[in-house]
Amino acid sequence: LKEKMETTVVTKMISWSTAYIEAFAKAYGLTNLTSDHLERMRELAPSAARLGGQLPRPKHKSDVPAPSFRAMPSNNAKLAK
Amino acid sequence: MYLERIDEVDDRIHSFINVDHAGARKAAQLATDEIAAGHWRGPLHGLPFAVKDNYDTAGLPTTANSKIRIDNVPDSDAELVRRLKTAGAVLIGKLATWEYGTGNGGEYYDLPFPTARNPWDTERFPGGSSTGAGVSVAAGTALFALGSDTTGSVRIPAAATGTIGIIPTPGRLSLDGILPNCYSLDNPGPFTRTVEDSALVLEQIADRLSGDPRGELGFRRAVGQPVTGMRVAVVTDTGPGMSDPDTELANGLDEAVRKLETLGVEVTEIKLPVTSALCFNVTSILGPAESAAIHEMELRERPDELGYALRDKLMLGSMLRAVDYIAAQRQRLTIANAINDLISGYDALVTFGTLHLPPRLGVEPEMTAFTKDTMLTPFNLSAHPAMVQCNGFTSAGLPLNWQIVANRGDEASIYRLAAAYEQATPWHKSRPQL
Repeated sequence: LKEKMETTVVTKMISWSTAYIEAFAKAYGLTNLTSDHLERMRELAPSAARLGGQLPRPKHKSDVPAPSFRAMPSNNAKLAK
Repeated sequence: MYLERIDEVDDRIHSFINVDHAGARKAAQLATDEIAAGHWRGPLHGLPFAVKDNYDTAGLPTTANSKIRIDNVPDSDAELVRRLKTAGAVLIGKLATWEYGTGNGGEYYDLPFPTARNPWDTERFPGGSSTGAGVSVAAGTALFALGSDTTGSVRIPAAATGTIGIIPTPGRLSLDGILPNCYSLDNPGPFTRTVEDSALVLEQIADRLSGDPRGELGFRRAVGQPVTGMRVAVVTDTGPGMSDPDTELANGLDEAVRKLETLGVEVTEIKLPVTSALCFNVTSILGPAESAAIHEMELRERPDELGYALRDKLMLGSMLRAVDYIAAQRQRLTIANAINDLISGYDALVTFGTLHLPPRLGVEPEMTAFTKDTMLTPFNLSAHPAMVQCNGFTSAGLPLNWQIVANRGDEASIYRLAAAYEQATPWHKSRPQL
């Protein structure tokens, strides 16, 4: 399986500022979060970056995501002549 | 009988969130009358069951152990509940769960209903998130139960309570009317005391999959069939990045495999093509991201009413990048194909379920390790049917467990192996003393 993957993303573990988290929450409509919630969100932010950063990426662009929808011909489809 | 048992012991184990005494008595009387009149609906007619409180039940509160849904009373039953009622089974109530089926393994004190307790040792945790389902079946407060599994939430409680917990091939059981947790991984599953009961319940509620042979699904028929000549892969190496199993669990798996050999099974030791640690990484992105999408409005509008574990998950999911989510879904397919290629060379695969024994309540590191350190997640990602079965007890009387996995659509091979093992061992006869 290793041959099919490569690790491409490197993230730096940084501390997120309270101001950044407040702006993020405001931008995405999370306006009812209390200051305690926002502080907890600030603590969780590095984990969000780390989880994505440490995930090996498939090597080939043609490696599709699991739930990719593929249309199948309908039973009613007329065969091309 | 089961209602009396609930009254007798449930204040010590908290398996139920809500018991429907009146509804259960009425349904039981109806079943009695129908059977007496010669209108027998089948083998589940009159048998009492309960469901995790994330299944919709008509006229009965469905809280998912959340303050936000405390007054939620659905108009209709989840499809699996409807099928069981149609078969004449008697719904006796709703079972304990983590809020929305979410938790990292800890004990949460900010939810409406208390944490269920393990009937084998009430100072220990019974596993989540289908906490009440395992407890009720082990303790005899329900004959069988339905739970739901995203990354182990059926099989972890089954492991902790010495019950049979199975997730079938995804798509075989309807998710209609079950509160979603993660669209791409959610999978319901039944809990029972015996393998035959599991086959009976699953066969009653399952759908056919394209590719199934014609005729009956064959789960019940598989129980009791000989296993001589079956080819089974064994995985004892938990791989890099994952804990070693507790000694009792390692010995339990070894002895169970030896038992299969005495029954004529051809056993081959192999390694998984992926690490459980990688699988955990993938689900750590899929789970929070999808939950944040599913429950976006709760986080936006009523964050203070969420328990901290669910709120943490939704906040984390809100910060994950779409790029990383898609990378995780691409990784999932690569993992699923690799595991499928491996299993397709065998009739089944056996390995550990959990890597630790049921943890002590209140000991947070033990509790989270019990939930996190498992060999369960690879088979959620790979979409294979998988069962956890009790394969012994520690000297202190705690249940051990192993996991049996089969090819997609071939739940019958799991039942064949599990039933042969059950018949050759005494473990299913043990009952917790409450």
